[in-house]
Amino acid sequence: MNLTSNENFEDRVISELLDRLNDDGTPSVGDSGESSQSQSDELIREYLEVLGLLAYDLEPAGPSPAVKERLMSAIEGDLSADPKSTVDPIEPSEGAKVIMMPDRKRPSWALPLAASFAFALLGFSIWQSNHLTSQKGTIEDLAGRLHDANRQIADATDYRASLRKAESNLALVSSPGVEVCALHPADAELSQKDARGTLFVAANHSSWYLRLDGLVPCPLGRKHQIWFVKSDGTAESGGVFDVKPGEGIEVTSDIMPIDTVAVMITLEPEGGSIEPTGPSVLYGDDVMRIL
Amino acid sequence: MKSLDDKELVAAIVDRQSAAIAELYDRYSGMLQALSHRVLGDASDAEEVLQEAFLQVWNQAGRYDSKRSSVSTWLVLITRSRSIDRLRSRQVQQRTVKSAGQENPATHTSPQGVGNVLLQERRNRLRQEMKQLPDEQSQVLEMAFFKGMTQSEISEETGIPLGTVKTRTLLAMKKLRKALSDDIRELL
Repeated sequence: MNLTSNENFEDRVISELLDRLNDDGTPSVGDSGESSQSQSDELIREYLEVLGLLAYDLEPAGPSPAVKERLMSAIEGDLSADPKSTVDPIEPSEGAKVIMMPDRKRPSWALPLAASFAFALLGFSIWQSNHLTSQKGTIEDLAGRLHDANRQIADATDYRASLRKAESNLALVSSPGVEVCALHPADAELSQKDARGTLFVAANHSSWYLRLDGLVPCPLGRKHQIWFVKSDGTAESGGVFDVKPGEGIEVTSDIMPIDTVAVMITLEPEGGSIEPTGPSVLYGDDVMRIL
Repeated sequence: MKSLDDKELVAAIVDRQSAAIAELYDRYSGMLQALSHRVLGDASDAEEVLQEAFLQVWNQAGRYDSKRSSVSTWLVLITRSRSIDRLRSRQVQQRTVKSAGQENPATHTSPQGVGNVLLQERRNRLRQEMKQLPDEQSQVLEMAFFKGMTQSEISEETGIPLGTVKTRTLLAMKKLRKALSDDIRELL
């Protein structure tokens, strides 16, 4: 046996001794593992003695003489009751604090009763196992239904968004007049030099539709934000969005200030800003009216 | 009876000689009372446990196996086990004394003699070795032995990771085994 396996065995002996320490009587370790039986017995015994020696760390405390008197009285009573008995309960003397040992004679009905109890317990265990299996099936079925319901809700949300977009586009094309504004890269933003955008606005500003192409996706923690610049120079947000690489994007809404004179897209912190703070990506103020 | 060694006393107890258990009581009741008092934190409870432990010895002396442990270790483990059972059943942990040395009576009622001198010498050596242990090692050992706590319970109470508790316990036990090898040989 090498050193490591010796140490592992020794560690196991100590751990098991401590684990079994609270059992009544003297603990022992059954599995000797790869060590020989005599070696393991020796080791176990030595560590048992270590535990026994721990009590020597305490200052001895003399119990009152009455303890010994009660003890000896109980023992003498035991001897006088049955001198040869080693298993019968001890009859305590008057005043002695003795825990009575139970009568170990087993009644004749004890075994049948124990067997009946065991069978009943077995039956109950089988019933409980079947019941748990049934409940597990029900839980799985309910989980499946919940998943389907969530998927239907998600579909309905998508349908609602599509419907709203169609309504907005319908309002736009059925409007008596449409304004068109082309958006171009801001001079300072060379990284978005290929970006283009076209904004279609109903003449009464009841709805608008923005088509964007060539935008570079936002860096981490940033989003694009649409701004409607009003005649007094202030800007009102039209929402935040991001794009995927190589894909165009369509944005639509029925909210737009009536005195909008220009449209601007800026790069803002994720979640958007109250007013434009980031670099301008696209800008357009050249409005062309159709019809 | 005083001339008999511990094993011979146990053999005499098996033969139902009450003088033998009286002698065994005189030899070890002081240490066992201190042990039970340390676990329970109450002298009266400790005395009841002591009496129960010796009654168990009287009734079960035939179960003692000298190949498994010395008589003193057998007595210590019986007393400790009964004390911890009582501790748990009565929920008296809060009364456990922090330091048995401060509250235990200083008197020693066991008879004086060669045996006691040997025990005192053994006690002195054990104390010296316990002092050599780092505090964190003696702490886990005391919690396991005197409070009857499992290593998981020690980890939970102290907030020390379980692996660390196990390592400290192993180290402490190995050091004590090495340091007390002479005493262990005597007991074996």
